[in-house]
Parts: sequence; C-alpha cells; structure tokens
Amino acid sequence: MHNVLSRANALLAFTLWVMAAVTAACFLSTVFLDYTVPSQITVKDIKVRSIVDYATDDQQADLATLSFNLKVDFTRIFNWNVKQLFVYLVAEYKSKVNEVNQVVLWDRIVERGERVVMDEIGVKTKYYFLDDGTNLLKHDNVTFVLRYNVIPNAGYLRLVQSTNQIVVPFPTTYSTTRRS
Amino acid sequence: MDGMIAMLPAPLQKLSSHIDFQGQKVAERTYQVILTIAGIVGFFVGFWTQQLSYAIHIVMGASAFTALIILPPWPFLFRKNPIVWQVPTEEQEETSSASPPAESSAKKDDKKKKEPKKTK
Repeated sequence: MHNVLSRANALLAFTLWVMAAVTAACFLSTVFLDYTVPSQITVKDIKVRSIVDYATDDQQADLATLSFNLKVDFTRIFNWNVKQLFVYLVAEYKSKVNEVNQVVLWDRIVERGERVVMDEIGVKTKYYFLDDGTNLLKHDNVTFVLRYNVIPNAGYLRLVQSTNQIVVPFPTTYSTTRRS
Repeated sequence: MDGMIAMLPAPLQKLSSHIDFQGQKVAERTYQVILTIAGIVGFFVGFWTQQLSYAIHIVMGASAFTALIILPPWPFLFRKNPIVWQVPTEEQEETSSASPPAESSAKKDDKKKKEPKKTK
C-alpha cells in the first residue's frame, strides 16, 4: 500500500472479490427458482418411409417426416441469471432392442431480449427422424416433448423439461409418394 | 515491474507516490468500505432491474471512483502523519563512517576532530 502500484494491485484484487461475491449472490438468488413452463405441441403430417440403410444389419430403416406447431412462452424464465436458452424438441419411443430412444428433431437458441414468445406453425424438423431399425411403423406411442438448457450467467447448466407432452400414434403403412 | 518503471521518462520516475503509514491504513479502509457498499447496492439494483450487467457496472464504477481517491498520494488525506526520524547523534555517525572513508565524510571527521581540540 506504500506506492501507487501496490495500491492499484490491492484495489483490483478487492474489486474482483466484490464482483465474484455479487455474481455468487446472483446465482444464489436464482438457484431455487422454478424454470418449467407449459408448452403446446401439435404434430401433424406424419409419414414413415422405408429407406435403405447400409449401416444396419437388415439394411432397412424407418425414416419419419413430420411438421409441428409449437406454442410456448419463455418470458417468465428470463431472470437476471439467464443468458439464453437452448430449446430442442425430442421424440421418445421404445423399441424391442432399446428401452429408450431419444431423437432430437429440432432446436433453437432463444436469446435474452429477443423473441422469447414462440408461436411456430408448420415447422419442419431440422434433423432426420431416423430409426436404427423398422420400429417406427405402426408405433403407437411416440412421445414428443420440449426440453431446454438454461445457460446462466453464473451457476450450472440447467436442463428443464416442459410440462406438457403429447403422445402420437404413427402411421400403419409406408408412405411411397414423393413430396413435391 | 521495475524494468517498466525504468523505461518511463526521468521526470515521471522522480514523482513520489508514497504515503505514510497512517495514510496506508486510511486508504485500505476506504476502498474496503466503498467497494463493499457498492457490491451490496449493485446486488439490489441488479435484482430489481433483473440485469446482472447493472450490478457489475456499479462495482466497476465504484472501483474507478475509489482509484481516483486512493491512487494519487493526496497530501491532505494520506500524508498528514509523516514519520519523524530521529536526528542522528554524532557517535553513531562516527562509527558508521569509520569503515568506508569517503571524501565528504573524511572532511567532516576532520572538522569533528578539530572541534573537541578547541574545547580542550
């Protein structure tokens, strides 16, 4: 503390201490909050195609195409410890081989201060809904659920599942018509 | 750091930034109090506005403000209690100057030797 450099050093160190304390307090003020929001998902126009897949033993795989409507309001989530959300739609189903199959069909980054209320209509999936066998045809319980990671300013990466989910039966016949 | 200081122009190097012991105590207490209060205020401002950046900016602003107060060696704040050094007695001066007899000290010694002769 005797000369200007040691004073600057002490001041900087204490400033960082205070900032760390404020950030930790911010984390503590939000750690017990409830981040779940309801969502409305409707899936339509489901088609299942049989495609040739040389990676699997039976060389046949089911590829599903669909579009969906999504209505969800994230406004409540964005407190002062949330930087952005990583929202993704998951299809879950059970097959003979695997107890749980999870396929991510679509995702989006929702940043703070941007469009946090979603009302999407007729969204096509971003990623292939490809089974590793022929389990999708006639499947009567494919569950669609919206999950999101909450990216905080301070703290841990939280994974939340939206409260609503829908169960959709899949078509019983393969679709052969080409889409225009 | 010393090398960086040595690169500064000579007039800058001569500037003294030292403050006395009482001043160091006051300076330390000053930044601790100001920054702690700023941290608490910043937390509540950030909580009410739900903007963490406001809280961080308040702490950084308080830090800059505190730097203005404690970094320059303000004479009316930190140099009010200078250390009063004791005036060296003559005996100490003789013992210290005995080993390296420089020219100036040698002359002083001559004077000192002459002075007691006069008193005798």
